[in-house]
Amino acid sequence: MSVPVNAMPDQQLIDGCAANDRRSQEQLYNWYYNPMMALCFRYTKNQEDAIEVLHEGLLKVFRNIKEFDGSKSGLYTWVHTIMVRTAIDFLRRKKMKTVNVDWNDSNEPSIQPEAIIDKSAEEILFFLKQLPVMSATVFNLYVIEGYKHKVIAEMLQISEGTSKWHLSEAKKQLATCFKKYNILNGTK
Amino acid sequence: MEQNNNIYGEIINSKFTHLLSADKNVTWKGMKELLDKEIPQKKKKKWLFWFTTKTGIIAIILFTLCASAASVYFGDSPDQQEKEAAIPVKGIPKELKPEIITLKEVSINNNNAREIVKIRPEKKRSSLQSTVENTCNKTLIASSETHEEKVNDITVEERMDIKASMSIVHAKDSVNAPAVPSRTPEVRKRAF
Repeated sequence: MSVPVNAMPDQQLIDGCAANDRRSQEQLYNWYYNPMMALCFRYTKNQEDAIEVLHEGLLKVFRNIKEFDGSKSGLYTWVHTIMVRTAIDFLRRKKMKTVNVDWNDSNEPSIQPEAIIDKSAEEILFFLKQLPVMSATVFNLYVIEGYKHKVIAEMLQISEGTSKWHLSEAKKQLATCFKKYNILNGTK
Repeated sequence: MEQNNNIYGEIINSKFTHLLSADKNVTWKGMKELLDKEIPQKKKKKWLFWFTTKTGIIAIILFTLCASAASVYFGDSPDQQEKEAAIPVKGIPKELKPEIITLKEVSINNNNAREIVKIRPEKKRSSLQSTVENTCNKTLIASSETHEEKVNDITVEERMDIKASMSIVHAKDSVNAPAVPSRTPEVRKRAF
């Protein structure tokens, strides 16, 4: 079932999930499977871990869907936030290494958008998997999810400077990977 | 959620959305197991619809069979009733005849016995019994016609005769029998 990411399932479905109805839960699972699985893939190293995070996150969703307030935010945003936090909890359990460093914004490298547009999702995923877990997480949170360094620092229980440093490291490594890839494939 | 901080954030996000991953129908089974373990569904009250289950259907069939078997063995079948009706009856059974009871009222002072003749009312008869009785009456009437008398139609004179004969019999009994049936020690000794 291909569903627009921001499309909202009807209230009846939400009520069914709140009533612990398996059919409604299955429909909601199918509704958000693709975007949430993609999210989980970005934070984890393999498919098994991604599925584990997905199920753990959706279990939280089904448990707390009664408390969901549609007037405050959309269901997608609410589910997305829960999934991100679940992924971070998962990584914390896996004991990802954290190093506190002071980082200067002026030294932050940049990646050209064209370098990413040319790549397929599988290729980008492959490059992200080459990054250290913490750097990949900060990259995900900052670049893809759009969180600020302050929020990321709170989420990952690190300093803002460390968050910036991880982002810089991620970008550096990705730029190197893209260069190597372009050389191997004979492209710019 | 805040705005994406870089231009390629959205590009990556859209690419990842269409990323082919594990079959969701397969992964749902795992999710369902997890849900059953963590948030089990409340069991519905199935006892109302127990008869829709296999066990219920089998129980109903067994009960019906037992009930029908019992009715065959212990109940009167229509054939049996017909057979019973066809049996020739020679006379009116004792149970169906009106009984004549003689009661004795004894006064101690006068040493006189007074007889009261009561005819016990006929018992309530079932349709079968009344059928049998009617048949018997008809038979008797048929047999009595040869002797030019009817059993059922007893005249007043005949009844008086019967009463008189009965009073004679009872009077004899009352003379022979002690007025008060006392069981003194002397009488007991005599009896031994």
